[in-house]
Amino acid sequence: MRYLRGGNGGRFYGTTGLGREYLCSSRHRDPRHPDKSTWLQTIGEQDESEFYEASEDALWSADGIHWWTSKDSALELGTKRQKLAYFPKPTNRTDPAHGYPVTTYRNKDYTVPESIIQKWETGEDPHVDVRVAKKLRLKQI
Amino acid sequence: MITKRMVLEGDYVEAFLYFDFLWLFDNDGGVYAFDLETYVEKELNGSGSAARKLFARNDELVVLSGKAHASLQTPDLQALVASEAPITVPARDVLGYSIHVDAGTALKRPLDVRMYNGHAFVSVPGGLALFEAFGREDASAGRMGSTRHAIQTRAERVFDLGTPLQIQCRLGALSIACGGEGLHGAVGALDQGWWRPDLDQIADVSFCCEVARAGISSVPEAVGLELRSVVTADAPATSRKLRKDEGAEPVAIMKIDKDVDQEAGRQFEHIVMTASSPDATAEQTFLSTTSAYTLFSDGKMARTGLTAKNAFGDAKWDGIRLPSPEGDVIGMTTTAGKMIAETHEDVQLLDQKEWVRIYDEPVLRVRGYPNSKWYRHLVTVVGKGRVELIFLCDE
Repeated sequence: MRYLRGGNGGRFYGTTGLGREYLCSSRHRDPRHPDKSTWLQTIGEQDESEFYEASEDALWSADGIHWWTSKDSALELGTKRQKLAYFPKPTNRTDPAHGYPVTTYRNKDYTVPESIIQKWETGEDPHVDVRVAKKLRLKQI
Repeated sequence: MITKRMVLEGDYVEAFLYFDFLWLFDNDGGVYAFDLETYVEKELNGSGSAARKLFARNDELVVLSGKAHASLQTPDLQALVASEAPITVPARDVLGYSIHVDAGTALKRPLDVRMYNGHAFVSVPGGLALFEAFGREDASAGRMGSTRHAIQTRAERVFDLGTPLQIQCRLGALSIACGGEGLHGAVGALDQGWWRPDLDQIADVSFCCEVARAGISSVPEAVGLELRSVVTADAPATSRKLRKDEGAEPVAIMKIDKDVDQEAGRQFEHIVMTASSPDATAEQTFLSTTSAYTLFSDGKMARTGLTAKNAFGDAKWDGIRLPSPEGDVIGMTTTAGKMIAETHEDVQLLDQKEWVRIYDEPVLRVRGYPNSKWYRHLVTVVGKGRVELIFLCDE
C-alpha cells in the first residue's frame, strides 16, 4: 500500500479496497520493548501493510479479526519466530487497522479460527498443506 | 542405537499401533486397520519371523535388564537389523492388508488419536469422537482389502467444548488438553466393555497432560506444571481380559481432584530456577507420566521426577543438565526408554546424552508406545506420503 503520512503511533498506509487505512504501529517495531510482539526487521512496513490488504482481499477474517500467514506458514514474521500476523478488530468503523506477529503455540489468547484454516487448506492451490493445517489446529504454529 | 524401518506408502495424517493392527487415518475420515503380523508373515520371505518380532510382537524379543540389545536376539533377527535397507510396503499392499473402517464423516481431519481398552478416541476440529476398536478375531479375513466390505462403525461425537490438542488414557481415565478451552477428564473406562465418557472440566487451561497412578499432570502455559491427585481402587477383574497389548493395570482411577497441588507447583518453580544457569531462561515444559522436562534458552534441558511410590511426592531434579534438541521443539514422547522430540524440521532421539536425528523432514505425527507390551520398541512417524515404523534397540 502507499505511504500516506506519519503520526504519533506510527506511519499510515492506504487505502485498502474497502477504503481502510493501515497503521504500522511503532510499538510493534521497537526493539526496546522485547515483551511486545515485534516484527522482524526484514519484514518492512510496506510488507506489513500488504499482509493486511491481502487478508482483507481474501476475506481471511472472523468476527472482524483478520489473519495472515505466508504459503505453508514458511515465513517467520516476528522476533520470536512468529509465523502468523494478527490484525485485531478496529474499535470504531473508521479507525485504521493495525497488526502484529503472533504464535498460537502454548498461547491461550490466540487461536486461528476454524473457518480461516478451512479457507487456507481448500481450493485448487491451497495456501497451506495438510500438515500445516493440522499444526495450525493443534496450535503448534 | 540400532534402527530398522518399515515404510508404508500412502497419504495418512495419523497412525496408532493397537491390538493386532497399525491403525491409519487419512484426512478425509478414512480409517484402515493394517494387519502387520499377517503382512510380514505372508510377504517377507525368510525374514517374516524376525520382522514379526520387530514390528508386531516386541514381547517376543529377548530382554536383559529391561533392554532388548540386538546382540541378544536370534540370528535371523540380527541379520535383519544389520541391513539398513527399509522394508517398503507399497500403497496397494497397505490397503490390501487393511480392514477398511467406514465411520462416516465424523473422523474428518483427525488431529490426535488414542486407542485404549477397546476404544478409539479421535480429536477432530471442535471436539472428540469415539468408535469401538476391534481385534483380528472380531474381523473376518474376508473383509481385508475391500472397501465394499468395510466394517461399519458408528463414530460418536462425545465432546464439543473445544479442540483436543492432546488425548491421554490410562488407568481407566481419559484426559484431554484443549488449550484455552481447558483440561477435561473422565473416569470409569474399565468398568464395562463399551463406555461413553462423561467428561468434566478439571482446569481452565491445558496444553498437554499425562495420566499417572499418582494423578493428572498438566502444562497450562509455556513453562509451568499443575498436579492434581486422584483416588484409585483395584481395577475391575473383568476389564483385565480386554487388554492384550496394553500392560495390565492393577488399579483404576475413580475420581480426579479438581484442586491443584499448590505445594507441588511451588516446588516445580523452585526446581526450574535451580536447574537454570544464570543467563538462561526456561522456555518450555513437556511431560511424561512420571517426569517433567524443561527446556532452557541456553540449549540445556532438565528432567524433574514427579512421583514417588505412586503418589505425587517431593518433585526432584536429578541434577543432570541434558542437551536440548536442536530447533523449535513442539512435542516430546518416549519409547524403549528413550526420549523422542518433534521439531518443525525433523524428529530426534536422545541416545547416550546426544540427540540423533531419526527422521529428517517435518512430520504430521510422531508417537511412542512406552506402555505397550507388543510395541514398546517402536516409534510411528507420519510423514508426507508415508508412515514409518521405526524399531529401536541398543547394539
